[in-house]
Amino acid sequence: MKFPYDISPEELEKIEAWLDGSLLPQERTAFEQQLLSDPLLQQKVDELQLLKLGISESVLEKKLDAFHPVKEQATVRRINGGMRGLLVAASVLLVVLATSYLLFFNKSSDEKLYAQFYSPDPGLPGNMGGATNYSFDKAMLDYKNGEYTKAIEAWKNLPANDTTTYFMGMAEMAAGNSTTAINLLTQSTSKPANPFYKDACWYLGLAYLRAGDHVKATTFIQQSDNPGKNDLLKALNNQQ
Amino acid sequence: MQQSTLSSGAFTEQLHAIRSNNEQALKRLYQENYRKVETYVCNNSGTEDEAKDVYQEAFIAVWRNIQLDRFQPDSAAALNAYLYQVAHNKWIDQLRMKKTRKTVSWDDTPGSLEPLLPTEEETDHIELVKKHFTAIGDQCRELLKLFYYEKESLRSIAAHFSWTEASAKNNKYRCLQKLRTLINP
Repeated sequence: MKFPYDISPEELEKIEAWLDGSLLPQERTAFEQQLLSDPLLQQKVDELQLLKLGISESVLEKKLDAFHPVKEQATVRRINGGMRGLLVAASVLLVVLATSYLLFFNKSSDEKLYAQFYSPDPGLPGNMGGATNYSFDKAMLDYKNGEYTKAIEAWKNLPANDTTTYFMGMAEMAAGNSTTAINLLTQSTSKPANPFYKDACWYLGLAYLRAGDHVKATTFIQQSDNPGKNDLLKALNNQQ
Repeated sequence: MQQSTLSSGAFTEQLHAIRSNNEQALKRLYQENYRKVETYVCNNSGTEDEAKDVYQEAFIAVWRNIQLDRFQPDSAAALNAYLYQVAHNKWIDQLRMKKTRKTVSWDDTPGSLEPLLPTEEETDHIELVKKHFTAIGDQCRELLKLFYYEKESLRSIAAHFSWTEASAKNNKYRCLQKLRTLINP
């Protein structure tokens, strides 16, 4: 865009007052009339408007990164999540293969569906508690070895946090105590920002399924992102 | 994700604060609406970085339309919905661009829901302004920022730099001319 014209200081002041809406009524009327008859004036107004915008946007753009929410320090968890996701997916496949065996038993359809889709969370790899959290790691090892009661007791004695709450829930479920698991997992699903939120939604949904509450089961499974989610929802829907 | 439950009076105040570039109001608007866009982009072949870029572009676009009175929301819900829609549409355009490997012009997007489109000339000119703004020197940049973005009075700016008000007015004019000259040498 070429500017074959100059803008004097007085013009600048008047145009800016016009753009700000701070001209007095008579001045405003006069200016508006000038705009109608003088296309060059309109050009100057447009140019100054764009200058204002460009300057402001330049400043604003630099502030946006500071507005941006800080990502949680969950790198370890994230690497872990990928692996765990694969492990959970693999377990789901194995369990699906085993369902034909289960079909021989006279279980309720809820129990059958539960058994078809539930497999215990594989837990965290060793040393996730860090060098100083031996108790956490020992409990995790017990959990992986199937010693659920021992794991729960140990985690209970640690200061409560998102990780211990979630895994106590996992241990209770693995031990078959769905009702106790529901209480724990409800805590894990109280805030979407919880790092275990999506997994907890999956397991909580399954626990409600086993307890016969299809409405709650569906609600929570919908909020999960487990690979088996769509199949389970379909199955639940077919059962209605 | 918080749902805004401001009364209409409180929303008028919020809108005024946004127009005035109040930091808290802008930050709140930004943070209230980011997650939803991130979820959408990441569920539609995008990364977190791409979500952030598209969101920030949309945020500036919405800010501009508010400044120009092209968009006049009557509620927080309307404002939030508009911001989401702009980001959503920008992401769709990016995906199309990736597929077809050509720039998508606005004409190619029938049914695009963003009704308040800037002209290409307008966008180009603003980009030129932004580009040259970085080259006018620290003092000019600070002065123009205080006047146009922070909307401070000349008196307050004069105090900031230990000038008289008349000097502040003169310097502001000079800095603006400097910028105009860089854009149109």
